[in-house]
Amino acid sequence: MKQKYLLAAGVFVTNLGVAEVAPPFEITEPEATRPRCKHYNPNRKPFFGETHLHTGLSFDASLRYVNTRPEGAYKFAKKEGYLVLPDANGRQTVKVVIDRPLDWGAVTDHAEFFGEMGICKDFLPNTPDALRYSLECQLLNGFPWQFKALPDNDAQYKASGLGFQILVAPNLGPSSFNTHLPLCNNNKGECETSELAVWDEMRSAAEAAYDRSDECKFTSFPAYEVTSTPLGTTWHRNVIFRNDKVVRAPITAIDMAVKENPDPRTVPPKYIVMNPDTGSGVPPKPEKLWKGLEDACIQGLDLAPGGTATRCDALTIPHNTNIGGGVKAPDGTVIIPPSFYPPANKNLAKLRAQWEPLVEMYQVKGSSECRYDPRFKAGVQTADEFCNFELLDVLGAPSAGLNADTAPRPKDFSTNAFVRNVWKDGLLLADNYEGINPFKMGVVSGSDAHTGVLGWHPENQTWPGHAGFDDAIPTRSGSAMENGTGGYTVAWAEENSRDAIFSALKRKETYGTSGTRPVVRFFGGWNFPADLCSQNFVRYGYANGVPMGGDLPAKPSSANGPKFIVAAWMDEFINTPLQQIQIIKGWVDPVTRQAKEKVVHIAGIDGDPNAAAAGVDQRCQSIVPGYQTLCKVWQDRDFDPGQRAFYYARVLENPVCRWTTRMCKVNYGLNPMDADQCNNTLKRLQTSSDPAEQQKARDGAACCHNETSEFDIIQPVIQERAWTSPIWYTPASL
Amino acid sequence: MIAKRLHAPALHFLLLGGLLYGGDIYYKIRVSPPNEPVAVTLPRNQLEQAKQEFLRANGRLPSEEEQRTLYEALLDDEVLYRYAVQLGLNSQPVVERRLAQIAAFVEENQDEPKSQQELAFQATKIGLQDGDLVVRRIMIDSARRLIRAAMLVRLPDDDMLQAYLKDNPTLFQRPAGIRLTQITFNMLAHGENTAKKAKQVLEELQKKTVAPEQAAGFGDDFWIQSSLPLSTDQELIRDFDYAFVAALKDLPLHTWSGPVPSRYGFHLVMIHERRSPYTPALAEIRKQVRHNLLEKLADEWLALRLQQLKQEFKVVL
Repeated sequence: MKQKYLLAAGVFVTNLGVAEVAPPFEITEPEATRPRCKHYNPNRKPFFGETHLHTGLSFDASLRYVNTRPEGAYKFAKKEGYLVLPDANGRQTVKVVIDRPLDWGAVTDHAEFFGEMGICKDFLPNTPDALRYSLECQLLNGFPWQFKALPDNDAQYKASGLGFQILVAPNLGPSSFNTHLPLCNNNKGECETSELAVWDEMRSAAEAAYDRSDECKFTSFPAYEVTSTPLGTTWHRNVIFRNDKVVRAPITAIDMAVKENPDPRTVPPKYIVMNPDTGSGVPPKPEKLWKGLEDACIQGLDLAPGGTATRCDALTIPHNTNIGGGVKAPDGTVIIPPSFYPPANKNLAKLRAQWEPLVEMYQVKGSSECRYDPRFKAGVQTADEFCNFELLDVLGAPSAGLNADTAPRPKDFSTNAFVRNVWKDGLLLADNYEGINPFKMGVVSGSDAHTGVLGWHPENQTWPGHAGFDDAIPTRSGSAMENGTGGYTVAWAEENSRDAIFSALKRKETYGTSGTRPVVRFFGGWNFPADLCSQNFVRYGYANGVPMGGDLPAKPSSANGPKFIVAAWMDEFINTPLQQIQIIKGWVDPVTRQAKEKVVHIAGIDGDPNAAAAGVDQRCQSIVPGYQTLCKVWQDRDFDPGQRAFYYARVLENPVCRWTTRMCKVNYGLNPMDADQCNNTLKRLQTSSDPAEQQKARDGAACCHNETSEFDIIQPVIQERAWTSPIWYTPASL
Repeated sequence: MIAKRLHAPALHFLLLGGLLYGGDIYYKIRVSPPNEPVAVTLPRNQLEQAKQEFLRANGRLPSEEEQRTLYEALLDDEVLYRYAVQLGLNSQPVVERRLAQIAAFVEENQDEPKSQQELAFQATKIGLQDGDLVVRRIMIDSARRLIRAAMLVRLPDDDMLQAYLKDNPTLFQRPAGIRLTQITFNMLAHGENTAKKAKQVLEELQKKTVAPEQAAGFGDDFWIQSSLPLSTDQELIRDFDYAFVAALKDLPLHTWSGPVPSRYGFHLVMIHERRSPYTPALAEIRKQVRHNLLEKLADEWLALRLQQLKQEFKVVL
């Protein structure tokens, strides 16, 4: 009877508590150590997670007095504990608790410094004084910053920043001959031991946090960040391991050097720029990271001892394309290509597609989807005005001499600084590599907070900044206020286990959010009925189409354009109604070879992208109607079967006050939504004889920034959103 | 007291281990002639090297006791390595591939094509196998896993499992939960009439005697299961939402209630069970208890087997 039902259902049993059929994902965790979860659902569930988070084990968190550790971050995410963070003076006084538990996550501390951090954080007992109290340790432990050592702390603040620059000079910034710090080069034994000890703590914390019972309350992944930053541009990637079989030692940005440093004690690291005529000299070499992972992890040639899983597997997730290079210097040349540059050959294109199924669309340092700047009334290869969201006035190429105190113009950016354009570029490039699209990526969102707040993205005054004492009072500077609070990655998986979530990441059945938790489903196919929203469209979608991240099946001859169904349900905890659903199509005109895009409003209210502020009153109360749920079947009637294309859904919530707006209003009485009130009040506080008011003026100094500010643009009112992974179409002939 | 000790897993293990050990000895005496221990030399510099590594890591030389621990660890690795060679574990693909890589690197005539197997054989022949740390680690790890596997495949009886569970209840504690059956009325299908539709069905269900497993057909075909196992609040919030979980608190047991709102519409709910945090009965978590117990026994068996191997491989400095 059951078999008969299975056949009728087409795919899965729908009414069993625990799976009685083999899961559709590869099982690398033996059942003895990972029983199937009792809430297994073949129709898949939305698991909210986090792929990018730092703790005090990251060098740049430690030097800003962040003392948290991975174990604390996981407990925080599970709502089993609180974290204590530094205040603006570096004292550990800020206690934070997550608002609701997370389902899964990975702590991704910067791996290049594990050796130095281990020595400087007493991972080795009885470390010789010469090491423990070395200059490197002093910098990593934040020595340049001392609480109120001087009446004006600006000098020390700058010294602290210089400490950061010194630390990253030999390892992250160069492209060749990259090395560890002298502390490690001169004490290799201790450094290697401490590197393994730090990595071991990260792995142990992930293991301890993982719920291996059939309750499956929380899934953690061993992970770390590779921090390649050539000439100040962000070529960073997070490495996420599938299970507890992991590499013995992390493969890092130092391994991505064009050439290994023959003698780090005498040979300085090299900075390489791209040859503008030939495009050669592309630094550094991400393929070395992937090949290193291939050998150590996939081939199993250098695995950490232990682990219960049957094999090692991993993926890498690039982030911050928005500051990823490709910037033109004043003379028009590009000295560092964008992190998404055309691979040199088919094999490298294949390697990239294989290792990077996902890209981070959003995090504290802004949105990487696309950029439309209302100040210039122009975008970066787009006219989509809804791209005026979480803009960062940073180009990510300080060495190009462009990061001055003026806003970068849209034309200053590389087009591939934004993911939508990268996806379009991938369609174009596929023809160069026998059909392999090197940039066929799904979506994740992350945090990148350096405080340990795994899975916490409050859009209110409780946000403690993301970088320790440096931005503990974020409203002091425009650049700190520009940062957001990060977002979630949602994986559609059968259960909350490592194999199930990792498989969802690999097949890109994911969407990212800007910090809220709406539920979004997205399927594409050829024969979706118009009334599909009122049916069990999930089962229909899986049986007759593909979910987000998938490839449309071959077009039936009878079909016209592909059809898509998008459904979204609002985050009832935050209680912000949905405004609308859009589908964004990107394609390449086969004749002109031009990449194109189209944004289609398909459901809800077709809001004005420039009128978000009108959606709330001065008390931040919503004053516009919205929806608890939206669903729509949409067909691409302009479909050309000869054109490669991608389609993704963007779900916009109703306007809300940004966290900075709430912080400025509650803490300092400054209202960023009312420029006159804000500027007048700030002036009064600045000229007041009351020391408390003077302090408020200092702490809220940047509160009056808004969407018209010439530099450090900050929107007082935003529309939170979700982005699905695209569904891809490839013509049968290609 | 005696009865308690008779149930102690450690005693069961000792009996099990004793049986295996006895069987091993019986096999050797009965089946094969008694062998002289194989002499294995542990280079003195290895111990010295280990001491230096300890010095680098700890800033001091190891104490006598720590030296003994270092020496024991080296001995363990050495006998496991020898045991792995004896078992032919150097022919597993991952080792062969590594050996072939090394051989290719030192190959004089690099143009001459050779298979991976040939290159690996060549590496073994010239002794590269013993010196390569990666090969050694893979083989030692394989031997360790093989020995532990002998215990991991065993089937401890319920008495042993029960005793282990009784001694370690906190390892297996489960959170509070609710077990229920629900029928969904999809808002996307019924719009403003969703609650009304649900109420109509509730009246019908209350008049009839409908088994929970047959009730799903009264609602909409939906992607969330009708019958849900014991679920925590977190699980139910993910599946439905906060309002749904809040509403469950006041619902009676064993009767259809509702309509209960959720992000998807409305639901009729029958609660079958409410559980406080508890340690499940063995029947419910037999696999997990067995796993934990076997892991513990496997560790202890490995320690015992290492003692045996040290008799077979007489290691001298």
